[in-house]
Amino acid sequence: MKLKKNLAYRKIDGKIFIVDMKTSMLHSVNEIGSLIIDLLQKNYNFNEIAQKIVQEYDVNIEDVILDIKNFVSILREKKLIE
Amino acid sequence: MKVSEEIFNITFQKRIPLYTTIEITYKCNLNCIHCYLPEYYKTKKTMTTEKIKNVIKQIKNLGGLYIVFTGGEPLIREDIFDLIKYAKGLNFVVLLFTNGTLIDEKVAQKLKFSGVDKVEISFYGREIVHNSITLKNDSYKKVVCAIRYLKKEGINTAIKCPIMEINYDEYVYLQEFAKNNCLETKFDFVLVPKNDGDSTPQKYMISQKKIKDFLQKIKFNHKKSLDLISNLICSAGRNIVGITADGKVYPCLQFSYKIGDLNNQTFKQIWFSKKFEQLNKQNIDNYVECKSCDLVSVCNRCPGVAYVETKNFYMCSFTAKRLAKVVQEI
Repeated sequence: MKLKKNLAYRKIDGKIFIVDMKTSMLHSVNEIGSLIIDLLQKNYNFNEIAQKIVQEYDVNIEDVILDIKNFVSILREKKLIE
Repeated sequence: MKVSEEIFNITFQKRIPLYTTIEITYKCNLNCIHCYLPEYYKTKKTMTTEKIKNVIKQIKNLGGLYIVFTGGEPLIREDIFDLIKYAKGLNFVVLLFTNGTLIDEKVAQKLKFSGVDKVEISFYGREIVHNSITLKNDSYKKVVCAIRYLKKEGINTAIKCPIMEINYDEYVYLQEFAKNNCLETKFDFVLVPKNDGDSTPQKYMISQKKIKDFLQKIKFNHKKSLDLISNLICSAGRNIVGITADGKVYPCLQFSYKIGDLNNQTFKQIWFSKKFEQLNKQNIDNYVECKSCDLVSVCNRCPGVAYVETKNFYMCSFTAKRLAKVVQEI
């Protein structure tokens, strides 16, 4: 699961900005969202991403997995991932 | 805050080259009467494919997101598709500014394959008017065909047009054409002098009366701003940068104040150079005339044009003042 090929994006000041020229939409993703996208781009699965987040933040892994799933469903809803 | 404002503010404050315009050639197959490139530029040596790619990579590493390829006529270069593909591979938004006359069915397909995000075509009006501006008889027909081919490939296309005395009445036709073909339109009134200071292009600018007339017809609504800093300090050199075909770096292509040369410096060295730093140290106290001008809240001043007009980018630009007067009256 990765960002769609036609999308332009850049990490700027800790946040990822995604440009979808097909819909003329510009999206911004916060720091944790950006980390999730970074790891998705590197083919990490949800569990591996959750492990990484738990290492960096003081959070429960089950909650993190749920948050990742919610986040990914938002990305899917906005047609940003394939 | 809108995401577009957010990215603009971050890159403006942190000085990140968000938006880069690269002139990849000075050569052009047309001879437009208002062009800002002097004829003798066409023989200048231009950057190689590898050099341009290297610069794009550096810009990506500094946080750049938008790349515009322009010219001259960028489609004259055979490596244009390779350059677009390269920039897309680095996840840039890639725009191409062209006169459209070199786009046939095959070129449109190649553009689609390269991944270009948007093509903006200069289009000046009906056949007789368009051709009298480009000084080439078949240019109108070629532009119309180009738009058809681009649309067929599903490429996001816009038409843009400087409104001059010679084509003042054409905007109605262009708006209609754009509507029928689902195209975005961009109109402008400002013509800049040639890069060598020759003001010939500016003699084609429309009168203040016509500008007012036009703005009223399109129901132009200028948001007055009371923020002096945002009124006066332009993003050129802060989150916008211009690179010429021979490798010179400017705050913007309209701002002919040379900052560096990619033939003997890296882009990163230039971006963090003292010259750029000094340019960005400007504050409102530098703008002695503008600070006390009652048009400042409606003035869309360009430091590049001010620099060409006065050799001082803090001075009043008569071109901007002329427009501001009209905007204030509306």
